[in-house]
Amino acid sequence: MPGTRPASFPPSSEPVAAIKVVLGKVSMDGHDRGVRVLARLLRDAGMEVVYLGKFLPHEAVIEATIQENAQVVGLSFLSGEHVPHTRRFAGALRSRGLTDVLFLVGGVIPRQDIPQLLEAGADGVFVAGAPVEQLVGFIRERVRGASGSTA
Amino acid sequence: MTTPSEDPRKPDAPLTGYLDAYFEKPARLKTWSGLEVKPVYRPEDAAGDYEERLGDPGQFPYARGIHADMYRGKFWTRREVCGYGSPEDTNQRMKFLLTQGASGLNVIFDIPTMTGMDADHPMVEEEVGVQGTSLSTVEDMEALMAGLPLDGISMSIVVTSHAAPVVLAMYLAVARKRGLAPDRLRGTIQNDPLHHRFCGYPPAYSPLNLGLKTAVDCLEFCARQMPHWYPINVNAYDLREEGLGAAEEIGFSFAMARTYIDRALERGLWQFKFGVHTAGVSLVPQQPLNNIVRVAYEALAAVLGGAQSLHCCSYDEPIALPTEQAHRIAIRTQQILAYETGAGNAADPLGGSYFIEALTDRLETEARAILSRIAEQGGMYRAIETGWVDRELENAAYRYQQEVERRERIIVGSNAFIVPPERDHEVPAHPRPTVEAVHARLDRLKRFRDRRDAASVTAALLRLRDEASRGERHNLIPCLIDVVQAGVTLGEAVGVMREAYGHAWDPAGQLPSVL
Repeated sequence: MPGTRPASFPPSSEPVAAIKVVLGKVSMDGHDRGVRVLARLLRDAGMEVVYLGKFLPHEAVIEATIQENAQVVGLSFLSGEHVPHTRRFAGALRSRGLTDVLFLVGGVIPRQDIPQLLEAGADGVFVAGAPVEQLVGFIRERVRGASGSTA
Repeated sequence: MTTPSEDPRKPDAPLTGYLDAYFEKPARLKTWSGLEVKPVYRPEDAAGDYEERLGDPGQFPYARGIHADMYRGKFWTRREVCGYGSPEDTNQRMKFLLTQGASGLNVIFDIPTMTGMDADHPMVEEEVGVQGTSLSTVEDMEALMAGLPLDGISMSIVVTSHAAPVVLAMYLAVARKRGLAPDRLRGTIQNDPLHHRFCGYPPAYSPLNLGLKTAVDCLEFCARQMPHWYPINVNAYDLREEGLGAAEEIGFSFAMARTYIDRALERGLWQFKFGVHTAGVSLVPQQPLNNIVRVAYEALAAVLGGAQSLHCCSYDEPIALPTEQAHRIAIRTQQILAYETGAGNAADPLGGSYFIEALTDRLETEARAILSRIAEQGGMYRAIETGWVDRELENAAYRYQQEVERRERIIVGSNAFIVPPERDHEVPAHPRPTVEAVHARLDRLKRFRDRRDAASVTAALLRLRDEASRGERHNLIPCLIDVVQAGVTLGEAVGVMREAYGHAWDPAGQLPSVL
């Protein structure tokens, strides 16, 4: 049921207050079941999540990341347009000075493309079908690692 | 991933975990959709009069299939969804599929085309030819269908909402140029604008009032002039993909069909056919070759259920568009089923199974309940507008994923029996269009625009604007055939219709009206 936390997922023994995540879709791809479910599962894991929607201009996601003071920004792709968008988005993040924001890419992505996405500026790539707990673990590790004593 | 685990399904579990598998029994005793399954089914679980409940195949209530002889009379149509790159690229792949034994074609378009935007729209360069094939002009349709006999093939066209009437008009224009009347054509157009809305497109890109109007235009035109054409393919597949169960899938799709039927009746149509295509998927990118096995089971289920037409997903579906090899395996899967297994030799081989018939009854009851719930809210159109449908879909998808996360629902290779990515088998992925290919496509469109007769184009656009303002019931298909033949592009025709129905010419707000 919406809003209630499942009994066994995720392991929530440690406090993870205020990891803030902005999620969105920048291409003209409408497949957003995955990212919407992900938003809820990350909330269940104790994170604060803003799902911005789809068909978004890159600038809208960047602006929201700044406004929300998010530590993590994630883009979801399911239709094969991930490489050029990731490159362009990573460039925009850098040019706005958002170098310590964790930039994640996920969705239906051929494994062969992962090195290219990391080289283009993504900090992590998560393909469909993988349990969300892996992603939760990755975010906690990277955000806590980066922010040191504030966590 | 690296923490030691007692779970026998994790790769680094101690060997004792695997040995426990000897005593293992199924943890989940439900159907895929979540219906509880009893240990055994008996005659009383599927009681009732045979003629009334089931009837022979080909007889009311068609519980045992729609034809008396089912596949003995004709195999199901073996068609694979296909579409990528330029129309020429897709034409080549369609011919390949036919040489491999596909008995029908099924073309899908990229997002700009599906949304009624031309390939040279400033916002879409990264999408051209990516998710399907790119099509903006009647010349593109000619290239797409080059060398394919329009009166010989069964063509399923996956396009919906307000782009559907224009694409259909382009197909009809190519047929006209080849001297073929509409009644010679055989096929299907998806033309299901309600599903377009809740499967992804924001309202600005898929205005429902226009989508419904043009859907009924297509329906009416096909019903009157194209006896071998299915004018709507109510898309239940995407509902299931969104996480709904079987009963909801039936209830929602019948609610959509009811919306179309009601509007068709308003135009005095009382006789038309509906075809339903199904293909369930549950494919994952981890250990992707396993998907071949999943698809084979699903295809068998479809055939045991009496499907008329089958698209087998390619095993690389959760990775990219299908490669040629993956497409071939999907067709071979259908052929093994058709020619080797004997699954089609008797009509409705599972008819009378206590278990199957009990499940069928239960699904019917639950689907009727859902249909009433939607009717109480004022029908599917209204249920979409209020956001109820979106919430149902999202909740279903969330529940599904929770079951996966908690390993209540086992997906082999994904949340159980995992191998680390570096030890997983890698499969080739269909490449996205190169920058050069996209530029070649845009050049071609530019040349088309430069070459066409400006005066005829303007006259055609004005005529379309006039006809589009003559009210809902004025059918635009005959006009659209002339209009696209005069050189009007998909984006232009859609723009004119959008304005006539109270929407901005360009959903992205970047292009001005050409009129």
